[in-house]
Parts: sequence; structure tokens; C-alpha cells
Amino acid sequence: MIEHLSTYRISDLVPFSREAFTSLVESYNQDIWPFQIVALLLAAALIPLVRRSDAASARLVSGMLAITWLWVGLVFHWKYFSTINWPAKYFAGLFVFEAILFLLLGVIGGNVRFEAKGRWTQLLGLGLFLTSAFLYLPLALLLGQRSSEVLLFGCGPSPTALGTIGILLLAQRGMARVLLWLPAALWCLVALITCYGMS
Amino acid sequence: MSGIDRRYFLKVLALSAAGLSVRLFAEPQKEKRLTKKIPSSGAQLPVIGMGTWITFNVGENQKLRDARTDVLREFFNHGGGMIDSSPMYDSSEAVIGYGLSKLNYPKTLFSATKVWTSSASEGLKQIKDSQRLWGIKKFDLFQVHNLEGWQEHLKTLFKMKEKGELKYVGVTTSHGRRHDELEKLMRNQPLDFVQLTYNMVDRSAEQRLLGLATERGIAVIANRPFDGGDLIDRLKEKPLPPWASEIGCANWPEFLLKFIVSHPAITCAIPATSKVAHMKENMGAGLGKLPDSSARDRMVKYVAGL
Repeated sequence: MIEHLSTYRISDLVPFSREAFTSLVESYNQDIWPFQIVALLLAAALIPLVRRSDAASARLVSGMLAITWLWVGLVFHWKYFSTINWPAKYFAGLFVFEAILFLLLGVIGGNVRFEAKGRWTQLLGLGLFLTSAFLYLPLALLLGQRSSEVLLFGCGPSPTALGTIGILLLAQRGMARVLLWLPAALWCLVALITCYGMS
Repeated sequence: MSGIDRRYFLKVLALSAAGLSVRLFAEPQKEKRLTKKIPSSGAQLPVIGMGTWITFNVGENQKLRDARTDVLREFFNHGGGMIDSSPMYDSSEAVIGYGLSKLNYPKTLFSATKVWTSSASEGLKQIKDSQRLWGIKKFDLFQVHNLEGWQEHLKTLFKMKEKGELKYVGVTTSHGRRHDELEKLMRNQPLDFVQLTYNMVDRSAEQRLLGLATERGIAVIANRPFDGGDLIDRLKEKPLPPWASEIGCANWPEFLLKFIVSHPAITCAIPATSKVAHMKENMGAGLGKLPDSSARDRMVKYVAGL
């Protein structure tokens, strides 16, 4: 078994080309337009909510994140990505699971609360969120990509996961935060492997 | 000159003139397309087929599907036969079906796909799905992908063959994996085909499996002929050997593919590509002469020295 595993390369785990993935993203972006604007407005609304420490705002943040994870899971992964990547059905499951966690732990349980953090934690958390929500597109354009090829926070898995990790850095410590981090971190690993395999 | 001599002379002159005009105006001899015999049936199969891993997995995108249809068109224009796919390759089967229906299912098509699941009932569903996606009822070849669930799937496939629903039954491995298990199957099962990895830098199959295939009358399909593209990437900037034309090779794909299909046990190779120009190069390996064993040794030494 170990002997067989060693014969696998990362590229063997990625069953599609960069060309196919880019075309898929372009079709997806075209089909969901102007949902990208809604997602950007949602991201903008999260910032003041995260900076408040009251329970109602925290529940609202969890609710909005639950919606984004549910959308990415059911629409991007299940409906689109699975047409060229059969594991995407399992990725959809991961994203729906995260949405349910935010619902149960954050909205219903009220276990996700935000508090004032040290300067570096604030910088890292907010920086990660603002980059994934608002700088993803300009950075991609600078690197020569077309806007139609870029997935945004709330629409695509990677910026959504990164942005979520950033927001959770601003949350109170506790089991809820750890549990919510796990799917996001797992996706980031999958995305890294996929990018490497496509290169 | 006597009368008889003159008549004879004129006759010879006339015949010579006729011969010369035939030589001047006849169409140039086309190079013969290389085929090899499928041992279990005696049918001939073109030695260069095509694979579809990654290259044909383009989903619903119309522009990309049409581009892949162009690749298929080039394949069939050069007398292509075997197209190999699998449910593991996501939308590749659907894209093949799209292209084949646009091209009206060329007569030279040799359809080959796989069952890829450990579940027997799921296997039956996959077989029906493949028939629907390709748009064909009777496949030429069904293979058990990576030997997964072979115990049940081979029973299903042999039954289908008995009923005339399938022509050939095979199994596949790749990357040199599970050769021991493959050897056992080759000895104990009435397989028509095996598919395994064989190329210039991975010749592990020569140790036992290729000889066994010949002994047992099993056709061999060589996958990963370019080692997943790495061989071409490594060699494309390097010069071909000066004697490449002696073995009928004008470029690296031809060189690498002719090495593979010149092994007596190999029936065909299945390079995959998404580009028409590359398909043309690949199909060039299916023409002309094949290197003999001393030329093959020279080819291996040359590449090793680069």
C-alpha cells in the first residue's frame, strides 16, 4: 500500500487542466452575475459587525458566513465544480457542514463572540479578511488574470475560506472557534494541493 | 535493322515510354498505417490510439468541447482507432460522446472504457452510464480500472461478452502499480487486453508482463507513453539523433511512440492530447517503419545520454 502511495504524484490527484478550470470559473461568474456585487456588499457589512462585541452582531456575522458557505457548497462545488472534478461533491459536503456549524454554534448557540484583540492579531485577522474580500480581484488583475477568471469572497471557496479564517482570528477563544477553523483550514490545504497539481 | 528487330525495338521503346509515364504521373505511394493483431480475435488495430485523462475533461464548455471535437477529427483523419476513457475522467466520456456524434461515429472507432468502482451494482450502473455518454450500445473493450473490484466486474464483463454485448474484456494498471496482482490475473483469467504503463523511462513491464502477454495471447495497451507529459517537456528542446529519420521519426512524439509500439508485445499506445497539432504528431508515429531491436537499444542509450 505504501509502495503504491509513493508512486502517486500530486498531478495524479487533479483530473482537470488549468484551461478547463478557468473556463468553468468564467461560466460560473457569468451565470451568477450580479451575485458578486451582493457578496461584496455582504463582506463590507461584516466589518462593522465584527468590530462590535454584542451578541446580536456576532449572531448576524455567523448567519452571513453560514449563507456564504452554503452558497459556495451547493452552487460552486455541487453544481459547477463537480462537472470536472468528482471529489467536488465531497467538497460541497464540507462547505455545507461548515454552514451548519456556523448556524448551530454561532447563530443558535451564540458561541461565536468577537472581542478586542492585540494589535497584531487585529492586523492579521482584519488583513486576511480584507485581502480575501477586496484585494483578491486587484491582485489577480495585477498578475495578469482576467476579472472573469477570478473567484470572490462569498462566491468562491478559497477567498471564502481565507476570509473566514481572518474573521475567526477576531473571535473569542474556545471550542467553537477551533471547530469552525477546521473546515476552512482543510479547504486551504486542498486548494494548495490543487494549485500545485495544476501548475 | 531487320523488320523483326525494328518491331522488337519499337515495342521495347513503347513499353519503356508507358512505364515512364506511369512513374511520372502516378500518385506518390502513401505510407502504410501501422496496425497490430489483437491476439484473441486476429483483428487488426492501429498502433496509435488516444487517451483522454485530463485532456477531454472540459465539462459543459461548448467552445472547449468543439475544440476537442477538432482533435477527434484529426485523429480519425489519420485512421485513428482506439479511444480510451473511464468514468474516473469526469466529463471526458460525455465530451467524447459529443465529439463522436458530431463526427457521425467514424467506422475506424475502437471504443474502450472502464469500470471504476469496487461495488458490483455500481459497476452495472457505470456501464450503462458509459453507453449513454458515448452514445454507443456495444463497446469494443471494457476494462476493470486499476484492478478495482475485479472479482465481480470480470464476471459481469465476461457475461456481457458471451451475450455479444461486448467484444473484448481487459484490466488496467498504471505507474507500475500492482504488477504482481496483474500477473496473477493474466495467468488465470481469459483476458483479451491488459493496459499498463510502458515508455522509454518506465520499462518495468518488460521484466515479466510483456513476455507473459505474448505467451498468453493478450493484447497490451501502453498508457502514459510520455510519462504524463514529463518526457516531452524534458526532451523537446533537445535535438533528435541524426539517425532518427532512418527509423522514420521526424519529431520527439514519433520517436517516443515508435519505441513503445515497436516492442513485439505492445498492441497499441494511447497518448493523450488536447491540441490538433500534437495529435498530428502523435499519429505520425503510426506510419512507416518501426525500429528493430538494435535500433531500440540505440534509442534508449541516446535518451539516457541527454
